[in-house]
Amino acid sequence: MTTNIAPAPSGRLVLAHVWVAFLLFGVALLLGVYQVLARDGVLGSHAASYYASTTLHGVVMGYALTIFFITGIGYAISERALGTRVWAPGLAWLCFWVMLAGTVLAALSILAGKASVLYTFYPPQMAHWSFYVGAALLVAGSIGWIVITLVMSAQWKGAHRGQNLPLAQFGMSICALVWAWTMVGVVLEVLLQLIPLAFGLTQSIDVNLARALFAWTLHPIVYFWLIPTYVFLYTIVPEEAGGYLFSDEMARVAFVMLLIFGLPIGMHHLYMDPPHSAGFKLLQGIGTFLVVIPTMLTGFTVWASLEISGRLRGGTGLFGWMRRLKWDDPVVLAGVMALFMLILGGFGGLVNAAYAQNAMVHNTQWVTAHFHYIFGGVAVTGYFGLAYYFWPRLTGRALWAPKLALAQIWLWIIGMNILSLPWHYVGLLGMPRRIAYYAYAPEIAAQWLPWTGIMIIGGVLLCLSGWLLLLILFLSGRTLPASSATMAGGFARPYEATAVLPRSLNGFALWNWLLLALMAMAWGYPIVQFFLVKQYPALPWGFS
Amino acid sequence: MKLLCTFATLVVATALTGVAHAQTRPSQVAWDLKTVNFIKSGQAERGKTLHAACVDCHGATGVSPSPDFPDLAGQDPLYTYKQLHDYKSGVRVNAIMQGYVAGLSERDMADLAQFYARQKRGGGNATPVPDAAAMTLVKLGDGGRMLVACVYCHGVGGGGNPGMYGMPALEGQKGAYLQQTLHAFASGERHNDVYRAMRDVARRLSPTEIAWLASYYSGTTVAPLAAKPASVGSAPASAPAVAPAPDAAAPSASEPVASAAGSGAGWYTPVQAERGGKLYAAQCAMCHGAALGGGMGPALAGRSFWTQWGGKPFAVAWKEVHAKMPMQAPGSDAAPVSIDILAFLLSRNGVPAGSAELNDRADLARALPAR
Repeated sequence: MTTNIAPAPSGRLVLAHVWVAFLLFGVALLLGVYQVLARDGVLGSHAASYYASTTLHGVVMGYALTIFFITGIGYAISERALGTRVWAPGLAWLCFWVMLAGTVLAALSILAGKASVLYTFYPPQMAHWSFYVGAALLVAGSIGWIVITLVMSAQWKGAHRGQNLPLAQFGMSICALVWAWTMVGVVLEVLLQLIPLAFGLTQSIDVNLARALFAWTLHPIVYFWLIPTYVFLYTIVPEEAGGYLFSDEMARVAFVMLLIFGLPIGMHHLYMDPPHSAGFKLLQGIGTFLVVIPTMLTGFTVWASLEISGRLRGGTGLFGWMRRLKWDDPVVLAGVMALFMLILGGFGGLVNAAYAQNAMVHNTQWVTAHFHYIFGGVAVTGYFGLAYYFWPRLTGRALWAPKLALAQIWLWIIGMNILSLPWHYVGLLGMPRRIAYYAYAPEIAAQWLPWTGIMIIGGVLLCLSGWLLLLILFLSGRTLPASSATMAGGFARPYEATAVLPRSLNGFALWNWLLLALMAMAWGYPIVQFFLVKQYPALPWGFS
Repeated sequence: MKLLCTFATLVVATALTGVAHAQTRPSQVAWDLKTVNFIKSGQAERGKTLHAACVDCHGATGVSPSPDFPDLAGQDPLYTYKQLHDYKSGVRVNAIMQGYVAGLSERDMADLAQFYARQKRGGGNATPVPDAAAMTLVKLGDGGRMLVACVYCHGVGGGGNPGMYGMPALEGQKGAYLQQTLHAFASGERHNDVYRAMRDVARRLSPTEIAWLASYYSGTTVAPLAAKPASVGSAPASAPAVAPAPDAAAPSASEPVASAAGSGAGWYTPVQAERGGKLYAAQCAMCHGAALGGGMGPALAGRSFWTQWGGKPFAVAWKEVHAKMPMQAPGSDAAPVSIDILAFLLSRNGVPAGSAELNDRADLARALPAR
């Protein structure tokens, strides 16, 4: 892979996106602290504020932080990987403002207490129309990034016939495609069901259809969140660690598998929903387990890449190389920790994917604990690494207090475990999710209390860590110019030179067709059935 | 023979299930789009005309002049419609109301509901009494007893909750009515609440708490009822104040009691039988017929009375009635209630009256006359 030392031409564009993402992140972390306190009961019971807070926390973390961060850092990765400027920067800025307007609109309606429907929207509980319109604008704006990313890939391939699309850009293109396919479900739900109902154009809603469409989105969105972190693990961490990428081809196979296996599996969120037959649940359940393959490929490839760097730095023995990793580099530390959290989070995911075990943890705090591991522990830890890697390259200035950045990452990982390990456990003890307070079974709730108390510590540490990140990034704009060595760092080179790949692994057309077939098979009838079988639509709730 | 027995058992079981089902069947009103839109389309002007028949008890604008009758003004129209519908289908039982709703069409009910919804709520001076104990129940409920807070369904201050469906406003409602209603839910006598929500709440409340809540929402002072009252539901606490509905089944005291031959001492007093008649009309007439001739339940006069209970100790009849009735909440009636109803049954079957009231102690061993 060629090393590109050009300064980031679209630095302001990227920084605008990432600052919005991280400032919202800071707010959502404060809400998280409120929520662990509320669940422990120390604040008394204020159901209305709890649900508003949970909604804002979920919407900001799951949608706003991710979309702003991924689109912003996506532009940076594309520029550096391809050595060209962002295609149509005007469109990128327009989309940024559309996304921001949507976020503000949705946030205001949540803060006004008019949209406490949680980030899963589930009707017939209804929010004010401004919430759905805001969410739709946020998603609509991100379509610009999808187009820009894919156009940049196509243009580069046109100009570099017979060459492999750089791996980082290949991964981000897969990320854009995953997001395009993923959003279809929720976009259909919001545009065809929720917005007409919120405006009074329709009077009732088919809740089962809405849930099916949302489940279409709700699982693969996780891969949209994760793929930038995987790109980070494959293309930045090995280079930063002073080694090589173990296998470029393996990485591409993993990305392609995430695209085609990651999409048609959302029905494991509906295992307990009656409208779907056991056969479709089984089909999508098997698909869910297939995602283990690209996840394992990623784990082993990145682990092998780290081992190469450890041994190049003089490490020996079965595990001795680990001590020689660059533990003092925040970028490397973020990568190693993201991988570590993937192991813990993946374990919980296997439980959720297994039908019988899912029945036991369904709607318990186990589920929330699981997605905090995957989202906060893996995806967001990768975002920290990406931010620390790109900040000097975007601002031209050295990172302020790199040691503090190390502390920030350690604080995050420790906090996440203090939060999420007991969280899983109280889930196994039967603590339900989506409940504002637990006064209804005091003798049972009493056995959760010690653990919910520990979770408060985890929540506070996470919040401190997040605000430390904001401080470091803010002060990094005022430090000395970055060294040219820092500025020059490129993407990881593969350990063995990559052969010219077959067209299928250098493009996306085949995989999109295959995915279309898989989606039709997995979701075709489960969605069409709502138009074939007589339905009993529900009346909206929460209207006044 | 064996086959015949099995068949007979099946027939009886099916019949019994049918009876049980008929008596415990839930409300026939569901909040689907069709029903909600139908009620929304109700015409208040027409409702006003229909209201003329209701003025005596519920006041000119749906604000009742008597503490015993509920206010209807400002009520959620879905709630009002459902109650009228439930009275008509017999899911909610009240001797007076049953008579009035008999002639109402569904359209009439929607029109009345819209008329009341547009009237100004009564109890103008009734800002809820800021009683700390009541407020705790209203705002927080009591998790330890699985008591959900009132505000979730009835809105803050009891002003109703249009975001949900068919939730009644409680603010400014008559205190005695609220109290009676909660007691009726507690005993299961009133059972037209969706998903048993109110029955589950009310049976966990003490009479004192019920009085607190009635005071809070009515803005008046309501004293706790010492014991669960005999006949509750929408029937007022002060029974003598109620004029029987025109077509109510209760026989009047002046009706001559046929005197049976022989057997010496009487069994009950006429006053007791009269009390029992009112209770019978409210609780039993639905199934056993206003004239005891039977209906969904067996007849309680004539041959069926005498073959079942005649010549046997009174304890047999007592067990049957007190332990197994009313069908939707067996054993829920207090002993004095069951005794009064039995006195009424004896009187209607010609068992002689006497100077002492029927009781559930010494009288249990006495054998009823045989026919």
